[in-house]
Amino acid sequence: MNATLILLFAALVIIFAFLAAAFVLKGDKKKARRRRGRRRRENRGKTGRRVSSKRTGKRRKRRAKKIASASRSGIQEKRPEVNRRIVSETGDEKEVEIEVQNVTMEFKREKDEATSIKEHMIRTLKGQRSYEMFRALDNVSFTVYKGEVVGIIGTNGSGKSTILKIISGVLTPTKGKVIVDKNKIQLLTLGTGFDFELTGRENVYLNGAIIGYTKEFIDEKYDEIVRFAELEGFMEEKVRNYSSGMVSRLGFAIATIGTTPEILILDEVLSVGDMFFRKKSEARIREMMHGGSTVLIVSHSTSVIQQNCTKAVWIERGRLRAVGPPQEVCAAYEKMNQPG
Amino acid sequence: MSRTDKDKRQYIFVIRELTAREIKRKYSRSYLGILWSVLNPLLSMGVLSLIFSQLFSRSIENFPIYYLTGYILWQLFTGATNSAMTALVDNKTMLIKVKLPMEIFVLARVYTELVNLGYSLVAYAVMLAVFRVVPGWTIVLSPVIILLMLIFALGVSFILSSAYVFFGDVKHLYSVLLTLWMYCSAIFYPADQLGGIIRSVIEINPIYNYIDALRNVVMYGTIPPGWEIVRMVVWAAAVYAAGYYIFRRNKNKVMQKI
Repeated sequence: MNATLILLFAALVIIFAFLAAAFVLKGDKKKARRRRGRRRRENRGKTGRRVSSKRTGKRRKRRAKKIASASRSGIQEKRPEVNRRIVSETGDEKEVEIEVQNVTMEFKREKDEATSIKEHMIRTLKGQRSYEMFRALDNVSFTVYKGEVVGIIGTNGSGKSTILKIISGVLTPTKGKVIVDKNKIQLLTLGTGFDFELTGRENVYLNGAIIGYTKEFIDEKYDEIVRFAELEGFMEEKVRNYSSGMVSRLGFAIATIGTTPEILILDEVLSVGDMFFRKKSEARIREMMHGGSTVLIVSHSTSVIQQNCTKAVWIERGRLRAVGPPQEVCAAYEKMNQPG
Repeated sequence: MSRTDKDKRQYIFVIRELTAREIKRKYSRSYLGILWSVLNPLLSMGVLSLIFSQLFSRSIENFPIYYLTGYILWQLFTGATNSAMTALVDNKTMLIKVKLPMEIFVLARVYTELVNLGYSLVAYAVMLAVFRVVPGWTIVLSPVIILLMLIFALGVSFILSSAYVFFGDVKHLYSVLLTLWMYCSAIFYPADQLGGIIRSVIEINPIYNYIDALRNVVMYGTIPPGWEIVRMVVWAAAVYAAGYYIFRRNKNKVMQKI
């Protein structure tokens, strides 16, 4: 009996040893890989960004041409150095609220990542572990002044959400920094943080608590939230049974009920809900703008940005393409996206 | 000062809301709901007593209570660590959205299990009365033991939750480990009948120490022996420190991975 026990223990010890070894090896390999990656990047010149093989040279060239023409059209182009304190220079009463300084974000990504230890070990032993440095953001800098409504556009996967996460402090950038008072920020993404097994009422409290409202505050504002979301009579119902529009309305209502946050970040929020609610929410955003909030909006829709923003930032494949008046930036963006 | 105070109050509120959610979720489709937290230990006690109380009738004087004492602590530990393990992955969307410290989600899961233990204790109290076990004054020490156990569980939870983000199979490995661990914890058999290596394994086993201490305090009205107290404290402190350190160190990596 003792012998079997010892065997069992031995087996477990071996498994753990493997686990530990896997972790250690992983770290080492990554370090080596990072070194290698850096060298390779330097060889490739300053681009640094890994271009996916799918994109053919032809298309790339075309794209480059379009971008070049866009930059010629008088939009303030991306500059690596940050315009420091324009406040004093221009004499405006602009106050810098968010300053993004040369932010680079790299994800170390394994090609097909091992999700089990066994796989991990096999790959490590075979030396088949290939990594890819993925630059989600490459040297992005821009400044947002107090009271501005800034729209961020860009195609899917171009790093818009990453920049928001960095600004809100969820991710730490690989290089560069963001100067902002993190306590002022409120990030609103739709449908996240809702528990579909709970009722609407319970979700209001849960979500409110997570956003940072006190219990007393939610008690006080509860009716107002329900009224704004137009969900009277549905609050004791489980969110599971809500329509997606109802969920987003509730999310919007909770997030914007607070003492107007000083910085509000909206990730793809304005393009949801029916027409009437959209109007209402846009009015709410405008109200907040007048209340002095700084708003950051991420959207695919250029019309949303043109209608609501005072400034647009265009990020394309991790790089800052343009910063400027929404009309111009959106026009350039649309031009690039037209085929041919 | 007031700022951190306010933060702390907010964190407590968040933990309570999260805990409320966990409990509501757990029983969201059952009729008896939270009553299961009371029934579960009782039923399990019944089953085990049916089989083993004859077997150990000479060495354990009150088998049902002996078992129940071990079982509720064991349940606290497994419940807490198992649910906390997936805490980060489950709350992925929330983690990205808010600037709350990540620890909160792990803490909430462990706290949920503590609340659950509260319900189990109701069953426990009833059973103490039924089997006419009159605890001595030493029972006032039991919260301390439970607290130490909780700190230990929290440390393990921190390690598991950050490991689980990187490797899904930690979950399966851990369940095997738990089975082994359970049999080494002398939950339903008397530890002093064993000898040799396995005996010393049991004695080092932190969970056994907590269980044994609780039995001493509640069933026999004695203060646990000195070495046991030392072990309990050392295990709790060491594992918590290690867990917290690992958690902190991997924080950024976890965020990226998620």
